[in-house]
Order: sequence, then C-alpha cells, then structure tokens
Amino acid sequence: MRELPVEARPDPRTSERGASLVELTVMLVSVVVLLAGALSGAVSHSAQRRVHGEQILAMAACRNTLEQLRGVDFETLPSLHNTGFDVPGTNGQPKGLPPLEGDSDGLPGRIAVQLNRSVSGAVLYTVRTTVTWRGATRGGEFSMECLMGERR
Amino acid sequence: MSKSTQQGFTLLEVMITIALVLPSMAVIFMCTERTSRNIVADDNVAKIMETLQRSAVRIGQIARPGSLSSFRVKANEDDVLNAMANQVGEWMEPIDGQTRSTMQFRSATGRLSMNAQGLTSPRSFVFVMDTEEEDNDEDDDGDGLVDEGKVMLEYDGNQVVMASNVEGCEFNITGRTLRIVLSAGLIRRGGSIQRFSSEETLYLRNN
Repeated sequence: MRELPVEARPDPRTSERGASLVELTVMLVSVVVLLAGALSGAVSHSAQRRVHGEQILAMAACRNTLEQLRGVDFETLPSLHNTGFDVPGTNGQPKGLPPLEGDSDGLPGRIAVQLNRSVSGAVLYTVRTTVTWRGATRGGEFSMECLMGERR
Repeated sequence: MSKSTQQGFTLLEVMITIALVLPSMAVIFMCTERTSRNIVADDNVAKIMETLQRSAVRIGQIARPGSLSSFRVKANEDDVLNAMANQVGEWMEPIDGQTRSTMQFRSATGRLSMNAQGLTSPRSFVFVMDTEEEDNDEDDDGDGLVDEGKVMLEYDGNQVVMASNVEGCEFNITGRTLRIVLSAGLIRRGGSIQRFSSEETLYLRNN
C-alpha cells in the first residue's frame, strides 16, 4: 500500500487543538450581544404596550368628554373653548396621564370649539378634544373631532 | 506529536474566562428576570384594560339608543325606606346622580316612527358573580382575578354575556348623561390587589 505524502495527511495538531482564549472571548461577547439584543427587543415590546395603554386612556377621555359636552347647554358651548380636562388613570384616578411641562392648567386635555357654519339662526360648531401627554416612554398626542348643533 | 500542541486551557485561562463571564451572566440573568417580570405585569395590565375598554364600549352601544324615560334601576333598602319603592328588587326610576349596579331600559326599535310605542321590550344589564367566587376581596378560584363575574344583558328571556372577568359594573344617570363604569381587580406577585376601571359616558338622545 502506498503511503500518502506527509503534506496530505491531516495535521493532528490543528484538528485536536481547542479554542483559544481569544476565540472563546469572541464567542462569549457574541452571546452577550445576542442576549442583549433579545432583551432590548422585549423591553421595546413592553414599552410599546405601555404606549398603547396610554393611547387607550387618552382615547377614552376624548370620547367621554365629547359626550359630556353634548349634555351642556348649547349656548355655553363656545365659552368652553380652550378649557382643559383631565384624563383618568387605569383605575379611574385623576391625573392618569401627566401633562406636558409648562402646561398652563396642569391638565393634559384641551377642548377646542370653533364655529363651523351658521345658516339662518342654526349654528354648527366643530368641537375637538385633544390630549397631549408626557408618557412613561415618549408621550404622545391624540385628538377626536365632531360637529355639534343645537338639539331641538 | 508534541505535548504542547495537545494542551487544553491552563488554569489561568479558565479563571480569566470565568472572571469575565460570571459577572456578565449574572447581570444578564438579573436583567432578563426583571424584564420578563415587568413584561408579564404590563401584559396583564394591558389585557385587562383592553378587555374593560372593549366591554364598556360594547355595553354603551347597546345602551345608547335607550329611551331616557324608560330607564329603571333595582330598588335597594334605602329606596324602600325613602318611600321610593315598595320592596327591594323592584324596578324603579333612577335617582339623578346615584350609582347602581343593575339597569333596565327600553330602546328605540330603529324603525322610523312617530309612535312612542315603538320601543323594544325591556333590556337589563345585570352583574352576575362567578359561582366559584365570593364577594370577599379575594381570589377564590385562583385565576388571579378578584371577585370576578359577568355583566349579562337580559332581554326576551335571553341572556348574553356583555363583559366577563369584571369585578363590578356601575350605572349612573345624571340629566341625560349615562355613565358606565366597569372595574376589575388583579392579584399582583406580592399578593396585593391592583384595581382597574374603564368609563364610558353616553349622551342619551331618545326621550
């Protein structure tokens, strides 16, 4: 049997050699980076959930305020322009969402009433409720608008 | 084959590696545990809030076409004492601004009519506590929720679940404004109770 030339034989040194400290450290750093990536993904998912929760509170407050405005005397509706309203928290407690810094009345909600049109004594207003808040993560703004006329 | 090419890690190398790895892994483990705990807690809060919100909106959609003059609440002992009702449990007119857990009303049928008789049969919202729960501020059935039950819509002999896993339901009529509040309680890891509520306000348009 013809023997293989020395160069063609597998080098036992390279095949049996373990990982060096540098290789091991690089591998560990890679694992740490991967874990950190997964962790940051989970954290951002959680943050997104909180933002969603805050949006739900803002939306409910806007909708409820609009319904309450339907109940007020129509003549007094324009006087409510630029007034604020609170956003109840997850358990109905006041100040569920913090207002922006420097907010004049300390309430995150704002009512805007503008004349839409007036035809032969019938008046129609555009009413907008807006919540601007400084949230647990990045804060946000939500607004809702509808038309209101006098009910006869 | 020389001895030096077959050697593994030296004790020093292993010690250095362990010294590098252990603190990193400990920090990662702590962060992972805390994060996963927070995520589970946030998830539970979000799930409950969303359920309450959806249920309140759903109840509001049913109540919105209700005829204001047809709204009734169940009389309690105070109502009987104040001569507002003859007996407890009797349907009586709601007292402005008072909160009740049960409500009955008739809705506009949706057909164009000038006839005031065009109303549906009475519809009632009733809170029914789950059979395994007792009204004791505790999680009797071990599902993490406190004193939970269902809000049922009853009409024409039918019963429909409008909201489940809620701790309570409140109705309050002030003027033409109907306020519906659904609440729920969740047991936290420490054993304390975290409570949630969702409010839906409606302006009742029908007389």
